[in-house]
Amino acid sequence: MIDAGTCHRGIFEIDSPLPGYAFPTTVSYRPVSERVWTASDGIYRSVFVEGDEGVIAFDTFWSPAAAGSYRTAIERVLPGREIHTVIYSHEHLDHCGFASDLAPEASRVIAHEDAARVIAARGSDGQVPATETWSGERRAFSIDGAEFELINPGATHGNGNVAAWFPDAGALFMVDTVIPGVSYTFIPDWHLDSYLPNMRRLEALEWDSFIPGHFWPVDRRGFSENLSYYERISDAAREALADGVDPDDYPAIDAWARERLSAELGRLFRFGEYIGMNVMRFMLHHVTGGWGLEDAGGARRDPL
Amino acid sequence: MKPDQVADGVFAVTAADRRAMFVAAGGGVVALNSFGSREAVGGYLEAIAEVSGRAEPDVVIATIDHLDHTGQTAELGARELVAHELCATVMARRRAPGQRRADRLVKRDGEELELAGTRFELLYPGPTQGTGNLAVYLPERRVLFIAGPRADARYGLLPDFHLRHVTRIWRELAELDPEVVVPARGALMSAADLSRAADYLDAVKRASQQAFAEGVPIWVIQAMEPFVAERLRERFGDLEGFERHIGITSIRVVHHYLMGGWGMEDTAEPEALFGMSEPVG
Repeated sequence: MIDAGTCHRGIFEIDSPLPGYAFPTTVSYRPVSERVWTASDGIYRSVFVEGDEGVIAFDTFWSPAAAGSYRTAIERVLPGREIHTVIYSHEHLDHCGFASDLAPEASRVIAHEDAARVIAARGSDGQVPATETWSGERRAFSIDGAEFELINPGATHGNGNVAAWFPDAGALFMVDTVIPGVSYTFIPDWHLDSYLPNMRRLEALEWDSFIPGHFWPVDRRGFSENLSYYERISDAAREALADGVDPDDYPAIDAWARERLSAELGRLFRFGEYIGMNVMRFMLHHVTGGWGLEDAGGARRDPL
Repeated sequence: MKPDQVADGVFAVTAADRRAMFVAAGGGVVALNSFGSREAVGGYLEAIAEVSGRAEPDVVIATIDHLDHTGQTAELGARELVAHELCATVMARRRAPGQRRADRLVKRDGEELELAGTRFELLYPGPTQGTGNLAVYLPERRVLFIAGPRADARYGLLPDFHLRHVTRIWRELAELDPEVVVPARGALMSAADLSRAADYLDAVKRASQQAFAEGVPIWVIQAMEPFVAERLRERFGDLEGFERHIGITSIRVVHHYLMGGWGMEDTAEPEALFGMSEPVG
């Protein structure tokens, strides 16, 4: 058990113990291919890869305790193998904040330079800075007998958010982009200006299964339909603005969204929880024009 | 649109919940921002003409990149548009029709300009809301204009706020001791109101962290709202909009701690952005 009083604290500023970070989770796992496994606590999901000698783990899960549970899952599948490499999908703490708990022995921590820059400047307790960075759009890796490619399709979510492509497994792993159902809460740190064109570029790759950072894998149709959902919510947000709904008034937006979108989209996973926040986020995007340098003119349309 | 005089030669203009400001002095006119619709910018020009007899301002200062404040700057017809270098980069990349490119850049932490016979301190104390958000201080009038803070609690999702630095910066600006703070949204404020706005957001940050620390399901608004509201109601429940906004505001804030912040703006080194922005032609 992790001690809530002494565990890694991320960027918490309060002094009190953090039982929320110490709460143990159960991480299940299943094979994707001969070398590639996926692990999930029911909400968060990641992948790890069996090397000839050790293990390559993507991400760390969302808390010190969850990172420990992820490590336990890996040890059950590959007992006695060292996690020598951690690869960050992007820089957010809830996916990549706790390499100190997952694998303090890891000698290689790999991130895209855009993510590594933020991680180094953030100085979060428990998040290990990258020991190795890469730049550009694509980089093939061969680590401990495992081969895969990391792909940065352009601004999508967070900073330096990359997909991991496993051609032999027919799988593509990417975090906090396509997630089954409606999008998460208020679509935090998504770069809506370029999200869709940049994500659509990944459709040119050959894969059958998309492994998201949350919930369950989807096929190519599920991937495409999920992206189409964003187009629909963008339009719905414009409709709400045209109807005079206040983009800062969540209760009003939520009521509007339920009334106007339930028949069309109500079957989607977590519609009832997040449709109002999803619409609100797009309304504010339209009103403000986008948020930050990452959200301005970052669409890439050339082939990967 | 009725111009409200907030100091000698300084006028605020309000459209719905949003506000712009202009200075008409020394035979010149300097406009801050433009609003975001054709209708509103038309009313703004009428207000400028009513006070100054001039059809358009000489200079426009775009204090923030967001379209709801500077999305119609092209309609103002001034000879020059001034913006912070980061704001200018976003505007150039965005290419929004109606949002004019910057002609003159304010570099790094700001500079002082003499315009329309008036001293303008264009301050960039760090990331607060949006990109390259300038606080504009008129020391001779003790008037401070800034987008971000509000006299009430109607922050909604805190759109594009940079929570690591914003409250520290608001307090630093309050120490300038302005007589009037003209926020780009909501009612006019005093320096004490600006400090209280910082106190409010800091209290939301503490309560949201407490919720996360104690295992509240932070992605559920029905769980976050009562937890945070109960802790803040006694001190801040008088702020207009508190009950309606605290739920969604706390959801936004707690995700700052879950995710670690958003981008370089929310790190200890936001000045690194200066090296990442591209020159604007």
